[in-house]
Amino acid sequence: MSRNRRRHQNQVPIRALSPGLLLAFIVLAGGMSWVYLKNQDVSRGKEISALEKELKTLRIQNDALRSPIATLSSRTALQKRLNDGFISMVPITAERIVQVNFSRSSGALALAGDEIVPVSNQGATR
Amino acid sequence: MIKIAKRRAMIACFGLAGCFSGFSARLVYLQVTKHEEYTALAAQRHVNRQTIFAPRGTIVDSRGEILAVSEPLKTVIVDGSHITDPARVAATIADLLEMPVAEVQQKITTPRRYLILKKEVTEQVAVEIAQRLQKEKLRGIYFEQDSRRVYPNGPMLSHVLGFMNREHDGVQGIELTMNRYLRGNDGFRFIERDRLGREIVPYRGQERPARPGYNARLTVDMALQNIVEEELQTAYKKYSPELACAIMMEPQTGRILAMANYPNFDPNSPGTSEPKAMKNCSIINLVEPGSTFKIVTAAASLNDNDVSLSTIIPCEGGRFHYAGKVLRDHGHGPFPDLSVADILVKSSNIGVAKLAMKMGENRFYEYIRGFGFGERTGIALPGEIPGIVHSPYSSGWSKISITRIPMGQGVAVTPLQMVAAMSAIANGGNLMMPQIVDEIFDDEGKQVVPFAPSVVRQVVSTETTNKVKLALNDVVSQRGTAKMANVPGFSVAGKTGTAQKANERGGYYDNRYVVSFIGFMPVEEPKFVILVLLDDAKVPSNLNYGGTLAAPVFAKIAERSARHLGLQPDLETNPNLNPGAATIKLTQTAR
Repeated sequence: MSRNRRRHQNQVPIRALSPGLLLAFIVLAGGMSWVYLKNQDVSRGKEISALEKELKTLRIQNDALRSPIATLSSRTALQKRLNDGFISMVPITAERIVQVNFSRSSGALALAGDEIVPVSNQGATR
Repeated sequence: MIKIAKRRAMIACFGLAGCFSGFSARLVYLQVTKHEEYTALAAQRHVNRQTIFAPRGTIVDSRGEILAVSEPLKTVIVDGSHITDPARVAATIADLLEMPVAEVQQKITTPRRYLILKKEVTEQVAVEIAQRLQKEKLRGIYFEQDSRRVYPNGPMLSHVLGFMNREHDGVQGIELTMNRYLRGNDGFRFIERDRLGREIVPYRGQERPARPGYNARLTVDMALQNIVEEELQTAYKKYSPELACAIMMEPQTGRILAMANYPNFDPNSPGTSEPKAMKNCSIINLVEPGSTFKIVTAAASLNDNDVSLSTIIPCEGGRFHYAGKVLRDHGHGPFPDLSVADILVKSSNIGVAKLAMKMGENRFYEYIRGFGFGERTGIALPGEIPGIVHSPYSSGWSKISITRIPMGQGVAVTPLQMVAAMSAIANGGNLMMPQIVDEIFDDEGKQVVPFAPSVVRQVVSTETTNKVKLALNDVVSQRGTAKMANVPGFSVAGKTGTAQKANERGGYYDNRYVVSFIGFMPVEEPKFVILVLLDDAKVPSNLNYGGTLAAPVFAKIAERSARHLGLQPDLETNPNLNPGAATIKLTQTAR
């Protein structure tokens, strides 16, 4: 048998195998993609779970702080601090009070002659 | 030889085929026939229902000041099966739990998988415990979400707000009546866990998010509530009555601006209070109103046009014999013949009795019911009672009832009913349903349930109320019974009440009184109606009058409230001026 003829006989039948190879490649790629996506899915899930937990903790900590804030800024607490002398109030002097009339029907400030008049307290001192 | 080999091969093949067929059959049995059973078993082991807690809504006043808020807390749970070294765990966490190490160690040395170690642990402590355990690589201590209701103002407004039980349900007050809105709905989520107990997020099942509780905005203004409570507390300490209550209402809308009762309690620790102190006397206590009820008699009589303000009624020289009994004019009496206006100004018992007799039992009874007595006002607070008003139709009245009920004896009303009736006089004749809740809103501030002012009925005409207002304005003048209710710069209308305290065994106590003052200001366009009531004040009998005890409290509350609301004085600030002279416009329409 000549050398050329033998080469021809041992040649891999690529054309015949190509559909099978292609199918194997697709299955392999699909499988790998599936594994990759599944892995991503689980990783993202863990991230979501961690973020949810963090958010929940922040919300709870926020709610936990609301209560003492409400208690410390309550009328009763402020009154107590005022009585104890911890805080004090400056009395409002007469020259610092501006009386404006509120018109209920129009929902606007009704001043003399229905015009807007700038008001200032010239004599007011700090 | 070949044949034997072939046969052996055949036997081996058949053997293997049979074997695999057996396996296949078993597989089909497990996967198909037993599918549901094993799925459920697997779900039971790996899938669990995770509760998503809904926080309870807050309660705020009309200006947004927080009155009740929920504070998240943790319950510390022990899983004994996870604890390998109880001594180390106890030593790590005992100081944070503020418990002795020995006690903690004793509790956590258990085979039980669920044991509550401590309740109501703050969030900060829970975080610290978790960090310490993580650092020491210890297991077995877990946390469950819990919460506690906090009332920042303590006892202030306690009867209105109420409190909650351990199951986080409202027991009293707004916490109870608005419970369905405040509570919210817990959500849930079905989750799967891996062998280490971590959630497998992609395998999450059905999920329903939690709906946080809605918030309730009250009509109460805490600034006014503070004023009312301070003045009432001062009176309570000074006169030591059995109970004291004060209610402030906006007459045009029926909005309750303040409601206070003494004794009161701290809703942050309701278990430490006396049951008596937890009663909202404004809606639960029955009192005989005494002379404040004369407003109803006079308004009814004027509305029926039986009399005018100037009609003279003979007052029998202070002793009126009727049905074998004698009715007397106490206090400032005996009086000569009085005009209808002066009957209110001088608070004549005989005068109002004669007005009611002129009207007739049935007509008078209809007016009493018209003013809302004998029925619940409908306020959104639990436990309100309707009061006791007997009917003349069903022989509920004795022969002398027509002379006693007009002056506020023989009827039992709640303080709130009196305020609602007086508001009808103040606003031109409309009986308003008292409103304590302004709105229910969500966390974004969007209104969920509105509560609008509601007119129950028109009881008397505006013309009649103007006439009554005139007379009541004179009550606080120098010649009336309530000159101490006078507020400098403002026109005030009101009526005193001094009722003998009813004895549970029948009759009345000699020296025990329920004194009250109910009034409103300014007279022409009233901004508020205030009732002050002191039950059985410990003062000498000659001082135990509505005009001497309750009226000054009213005046102080009204003055401070006017300043807070920025009301402009409607009278010249002249102490010698008779406040009655201010109501010129009313005079023109009424007389």
